[in-house]
Amino acid sequence: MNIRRNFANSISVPEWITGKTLATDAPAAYSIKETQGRKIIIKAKFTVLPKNAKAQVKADGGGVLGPIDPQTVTLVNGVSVPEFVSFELKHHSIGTGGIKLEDITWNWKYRCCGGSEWEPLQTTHHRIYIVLEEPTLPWKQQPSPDTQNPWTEALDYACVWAAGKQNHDDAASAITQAINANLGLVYDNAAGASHYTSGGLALFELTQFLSYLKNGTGLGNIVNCTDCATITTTFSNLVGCDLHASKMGYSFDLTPFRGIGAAGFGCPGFGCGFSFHEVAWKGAHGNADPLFDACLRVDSDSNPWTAPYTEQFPVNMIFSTNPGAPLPLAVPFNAQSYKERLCTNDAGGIGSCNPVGPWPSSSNGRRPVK
Amino acid sequence: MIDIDADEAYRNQVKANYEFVTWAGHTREGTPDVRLRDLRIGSEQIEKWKLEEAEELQTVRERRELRYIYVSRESDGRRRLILTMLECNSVLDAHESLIDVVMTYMAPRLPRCETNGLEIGDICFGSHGDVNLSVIFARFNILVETKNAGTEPTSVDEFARAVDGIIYSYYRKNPG
Repeated sequence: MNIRRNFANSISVPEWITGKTLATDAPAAYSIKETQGRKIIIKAKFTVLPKNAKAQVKADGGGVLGPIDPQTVTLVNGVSVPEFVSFELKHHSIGTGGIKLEDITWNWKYRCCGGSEWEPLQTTHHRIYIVLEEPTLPWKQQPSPDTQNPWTEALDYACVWAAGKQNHDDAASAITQAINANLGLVYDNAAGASHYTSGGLALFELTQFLSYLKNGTGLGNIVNCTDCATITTTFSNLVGCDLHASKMGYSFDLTPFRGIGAAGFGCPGFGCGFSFHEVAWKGAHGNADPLFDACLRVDSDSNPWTAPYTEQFPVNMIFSTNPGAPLPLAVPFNAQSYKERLCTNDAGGIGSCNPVGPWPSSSNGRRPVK
Repeated sequence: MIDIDADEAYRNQVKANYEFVTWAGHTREGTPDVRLRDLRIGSEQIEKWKLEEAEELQTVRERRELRYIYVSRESDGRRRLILTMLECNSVLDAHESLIDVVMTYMAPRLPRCETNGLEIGDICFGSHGDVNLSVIFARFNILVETKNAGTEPTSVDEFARAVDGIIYSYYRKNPG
């Protein structure tokens, strides 16, 4: 895949050159879907003294990319011919472990001139990212280089949060849960304002968000639903999912939920109502389409409108299994249906909460990163 | 499915919630034609707060937007504020822009700042709770949003007063 380090910095090719010792300085990314059943080639350039030689080269180790079988390399005037020699990765295990971040080491060796012993040549370290398929918008593969090529600084998180996941729903679920539970984010109980978008909700301030993840700075730990939906969408799509941030609304009453960063169930500081709510949604953000909401947890028991509360991450949860049902709904209510578990059981709650669509300025819910 | 009509109806509803018609286009001083330009906050202009970063953001419908990140000099980084200033084309444009911003808040309505003793700007809305953790106000054609962004919740009142004072001083020197 075409990748870059962050908004400001691209990655030059070749990724590894003499002198680099850190795996993070020589990254590469592969998508499982696009590599399945296809040859994967790496290219390496060699230099030598004396100037003309023929040598066998191989590399041990390699982790997920596997060892490299011996291959004859011709060197003329001190440089390999062709300059960059292709090596097929015949022993890679891309795909078997799902999404992955792995630092690998290749111990390169050679033998030449009739010798039978393998001599050490060079040790190279690489950070390898494995995703399900090529990232979807806002991430782009073309043109390259481009600020919207996948960022390794974001892959560093996405591939850990979704490590081992083998399908889109499991990956998006894991990412949603990580955002909700593990990052120290707290809901903006004072106003419900977005902190990590700019340009009239047009852009995702990913550089700032990465600063928050790295050292607690950036734009801080306070978020709203737009932020959560955007973070979920951006990181999930980075590993190959196809979500978009989309709204439901407008102005509806809430049953108690556990907001991101909250100790228990309750209403936001501004009261038991949302003017709108935004989540990471699949498909066409209709009633039957599942969604992922990192902003809150709902009550999963058979009466979501009263205590006690049994918390559930809304991950891959259908927006409404029976949108036209007369209100109030009967108890016990056992459908795993999102809006019914978010809203009060009446016209002002469930009856007023409907799919609306992405904000017009949001690039169809896939906010470009900056 | 992007329901533009629903968004427009929602915007009208937000205007009604905030009683837009009662304050739209009004200024405490000067005329509705005041248009301040190129206003910037200097790094030492706000007492007790250290400017960490200033950035010119992507314009919003051709309005210049600046964002400042401040950290308290006394809190070891735990108190953190984000200041966003949108330079609008007119007083009324700033008020319409205020609606554009508050309609992106999940809170259906915010209290007027005056109810908590904060009298700044031509129109100002605070936040819910005991202290204002965020404030949005318009002064002349400048729309200001100040948000708490630190791990230690901090009232933004004093900071917002200082920003309003800077805008007002700028107006006195450059009446627009």
